[in-house]
Amino acid sequence: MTTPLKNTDFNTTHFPTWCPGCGDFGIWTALKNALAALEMKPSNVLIVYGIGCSGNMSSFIKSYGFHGLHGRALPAAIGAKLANKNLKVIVVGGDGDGYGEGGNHFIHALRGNVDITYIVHDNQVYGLTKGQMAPTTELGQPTSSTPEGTVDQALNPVALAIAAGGSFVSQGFAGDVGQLTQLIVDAVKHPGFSHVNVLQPCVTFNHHNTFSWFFKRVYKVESVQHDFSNKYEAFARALEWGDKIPTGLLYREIRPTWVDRVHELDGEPLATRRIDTIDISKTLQSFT
Amino acid sequence: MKPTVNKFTWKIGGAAGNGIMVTGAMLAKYVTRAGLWSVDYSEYPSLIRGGHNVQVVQVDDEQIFSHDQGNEILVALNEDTVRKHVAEMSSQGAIIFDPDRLTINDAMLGGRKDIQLVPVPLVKLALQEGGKDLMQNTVALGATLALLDAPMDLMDEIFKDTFGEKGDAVVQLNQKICKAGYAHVREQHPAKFPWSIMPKPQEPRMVIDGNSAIALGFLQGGLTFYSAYPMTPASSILTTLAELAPKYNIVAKHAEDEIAAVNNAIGASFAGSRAACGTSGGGFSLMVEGLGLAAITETPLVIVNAQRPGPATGLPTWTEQGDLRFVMHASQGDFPRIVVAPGDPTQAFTESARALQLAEHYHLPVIILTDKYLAEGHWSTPLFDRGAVPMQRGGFVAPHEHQGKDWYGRYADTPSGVTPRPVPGQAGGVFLANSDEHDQYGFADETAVNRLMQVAKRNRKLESALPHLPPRTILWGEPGADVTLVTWGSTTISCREALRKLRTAGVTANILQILYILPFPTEEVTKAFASAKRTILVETNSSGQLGSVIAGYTGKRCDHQLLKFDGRPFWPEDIVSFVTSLH
Repeated sequence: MTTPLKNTDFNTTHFPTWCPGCGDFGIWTALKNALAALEMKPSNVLIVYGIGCSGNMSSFIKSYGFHGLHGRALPAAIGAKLANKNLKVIVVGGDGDGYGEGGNHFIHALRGNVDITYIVHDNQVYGLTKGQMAPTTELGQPTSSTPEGTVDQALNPVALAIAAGGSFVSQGFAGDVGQLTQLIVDAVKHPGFSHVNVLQPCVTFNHHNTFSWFFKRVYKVESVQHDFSNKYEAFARALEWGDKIPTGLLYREIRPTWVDRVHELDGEPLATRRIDTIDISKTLQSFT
Repeated sequence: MKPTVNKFTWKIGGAAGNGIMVTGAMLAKYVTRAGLWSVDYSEYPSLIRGGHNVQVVQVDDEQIFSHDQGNEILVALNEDTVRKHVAEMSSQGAIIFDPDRLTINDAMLGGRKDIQLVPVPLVKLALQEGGKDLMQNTVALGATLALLDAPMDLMDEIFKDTFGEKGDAVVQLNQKICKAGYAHVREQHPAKFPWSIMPKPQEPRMVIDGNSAIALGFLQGGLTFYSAYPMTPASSILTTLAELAPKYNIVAKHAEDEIAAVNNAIGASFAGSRAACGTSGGGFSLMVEGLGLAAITETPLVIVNAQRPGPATGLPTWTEQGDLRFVMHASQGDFPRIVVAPGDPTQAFTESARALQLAEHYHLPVIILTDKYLAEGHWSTPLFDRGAVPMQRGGFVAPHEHQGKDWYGRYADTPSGVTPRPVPGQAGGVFLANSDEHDQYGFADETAVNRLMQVAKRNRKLESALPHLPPRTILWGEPGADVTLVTWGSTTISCREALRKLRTAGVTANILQILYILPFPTEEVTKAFASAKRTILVETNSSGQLGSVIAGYTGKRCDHQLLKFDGRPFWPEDIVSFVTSLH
């Protein structure tokens, strides 16, 4: 009999360097909880990280890890998943990383529906580079790169995800680890690209969207009998921001994944196929 | 005029969208099967419709490498073609044209009286035989073969092999239409053309372009994942692999941009596939950060850069070797890489297969540097040697070698610099691949002692790879020649043709081709310069990049330099006249 996995089985010898009170701790805990609940051994999961405070989680979770480039975690993760479709692949990034620098990859990952899970730390500010405007910073909020207030309207990541064809779009809150754990479990189980936007405060650089600010506004969509299979309803809910902010599963549809649609990927994963028996002689012949 | 057998140049010109590229490819295939050698080259603007497109097929009894400017048969699908190319025509050469669509007058011929006009109702014949307008090209092909007194049955076979999969009706339609052109010329212009084809027996040869050679080299080298964003002149590597994907069970992914393409390939390689991506200079610029990511995470990566003239959009459909120094130093930081610049389709095939193997064994980025001339030109080529790079997996650690460990020291120091890697999913092999400088497990480590160790370890891999590289320079021609042409990449092709012509002109010359730019073959180049009598740097860029690279590594400078940067490859005549002017 094997012992069930515990949250602590995913710890490393490094303890997080995040600021005390940072929302990242909640996300870190929820992710480890989810991995344990899913009974995924550290060697069976690949977590691909972006660059930022979120990506620094790479040192604090035990699993195969790939701490790539700022904004480029998604394409690296997609390449790995296509090469080994049996691997569980989770991507951890931040709002600036994934919605700013890597916005193009986000849109196309939603379209492609490769079966990976994308967890985004959305604290509405740049933390690691010290307090500049993020794509999700509220309009008019002063930041170190926009001292007179931002002039770009905030991006709504979950509305964008639904519009771009996401098959699993959800929103969690770093202050509700129980709900977030379950969302991550469901996201990983979803056959397709799953998006978990996680609202969190940045205790050092965002004095507007604080824990208490969020606590006053977030509500669970289950409590209002939200129909996550209805795209119009999901979109309307995704647009909510301000006095009421929805959390939970906003939208889900089951459709074929990228791997389902590409028959070259049937059978043995690319990475473990034999390549020493390839015979290109017929193709050479076609050039004669 | 004395008849000439098995030696001529054929040119077709028309608007983009006229389908002329296919026609040249068919003729090249014909002469290659007839035991002759061909080279073809196309010029086209960055347009899909309209503009002026030209394809040239040069044919010779002996192996030829690059074409010269003379022309014996011109198929003119529009007036532009006559006006732009009449000056290049040999005396007694022929212009095939459609009298229903084009009237050729003296002014268009620039006063030339020594050119044969061969009117063939190209469109009418195509329609009469049940084809479409575009099949005027097939009529022109038949007319060409009739002028050259070439047997038609060989062409019938090519149609069968090319269109067989589309059904007998398509094969027969092509055969019929081609014959109509053939018969027309036979009747209207009986046997007065001085050039002809006389087939001779030979071993099978291919007609192949550089990009297809790279695609085939990748397949031979075990590639299972290729990602790219379309960009001329690299696009056909993607489309060729996409077409072959079902046959070889590989993935050829059209990514959303080049940044995605390079990161896709890195991810696939990290998971254990042999993976590559490809682009031209503009896309390579976007891939540069990924190049460094592959280097620091020690993930095998192969990138093709098929150069075109820059900067920025530059001349999208023309050729230049302007990215040499760029690829040598691209990306922030200081790290080892391999840069190989194939100089013909055979080298492109072999070195692409080898690139995958080297990247996998030494956990290094390998850049394959070509250009439009090699990428999209076609050459008659002996069948590739499929065994040139014997398949050997390397650089991995087997699960039993690290069993029982909690974390695997993926970046632990080793004498060769190569630390065998597990792939994700492998029990007991857990590690972090980190774009931050890292310790042996991959955790960020900013200490000086670790930094020094990791940099030295990464650099050492290049030395470890050295014994497994082929000769990094190639000497074409005889040692001790009066003149040594120093060159790289596709310009080698032009130089090889010039060598043939210089021999006839009584000048002895040889070529020093630098095949591997990195690791730079300092010793070999130094030796070659010591024994060369007179060196001429030949490359298609404006600053003589290879010359400055050679000077940097060896302290040697070429005696002369011949540079071309108008977007066209070197015509052999450019080189021959430069060399003879020095004598």
